[in-house]
Amino acid sequence: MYNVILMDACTAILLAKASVLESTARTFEVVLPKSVYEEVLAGKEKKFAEALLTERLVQNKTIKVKDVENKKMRDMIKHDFGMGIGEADTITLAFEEDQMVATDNKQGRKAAYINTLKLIGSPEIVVALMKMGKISKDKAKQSLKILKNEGWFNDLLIEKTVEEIENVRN
Amino acid sequence: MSEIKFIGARLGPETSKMLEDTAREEKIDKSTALKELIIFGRQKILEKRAVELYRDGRISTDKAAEMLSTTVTEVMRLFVSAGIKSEETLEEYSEGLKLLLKA
Repeated sequence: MYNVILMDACTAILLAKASVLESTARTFEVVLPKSVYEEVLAGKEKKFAEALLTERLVQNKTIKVKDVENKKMRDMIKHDFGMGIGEADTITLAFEEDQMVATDNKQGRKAAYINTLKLIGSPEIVVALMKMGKISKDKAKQSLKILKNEGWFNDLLIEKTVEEIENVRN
Repeated sequence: MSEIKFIGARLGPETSKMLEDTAREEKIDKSTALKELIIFGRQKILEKRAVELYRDGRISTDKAAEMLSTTVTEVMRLFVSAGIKSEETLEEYSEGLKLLLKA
């Protein structure tokens, strides 16, 4: 059973922008590596809303923050994939805990495949929340529209997710 | 302790005009204009390199943020403006969704 999501900075930022980070953390157990939390919080200096929201969710314990134990593995992943500490910690923790890893980052997804981790991304998180009845259809469509406007995902993928939502009966 | 170094450089007419135009437009002296152009140019070179390295699958977004002394949010904006998109496929999306719905 996989119910923990180890999340990298890209995904935490995108879900926060799409205003579903809190719903995600209330539905699944969301864990940020300590270094990822620091990467997201770096945006606080520039008053980025995603940084302020993430900080609140960590402070009220909706999101957990954890440090990596296997620093040797983390350093190897960091070196092999040209990652920052946050991304390498996310992959290492997902491996250590045998849980899902949420990343929308090319290198993160590549490392997840190579290490046969349970990989997920932001679009499917939004759709899953709607299918599980945690957010409404309108809210999911609104969130996907934000993800589309952010420009990080290809249009075909977003169109497919919107289509999938439209086909769900109320 | 930082010290100011004197660097002599030969500038062609076009580069020299760029320097003069920048100084005039920004209402600064030519020495300050040159310093600003170097700093700005260096940042643009690093950004170009970060985009290329990410596109080639050699660095992650947080590594790029580290390289550019900026935030992951700003790196994602930079990458989007350079035409970079997530390479997640429909198949990966479906697999991820199945996984989440089983949780």
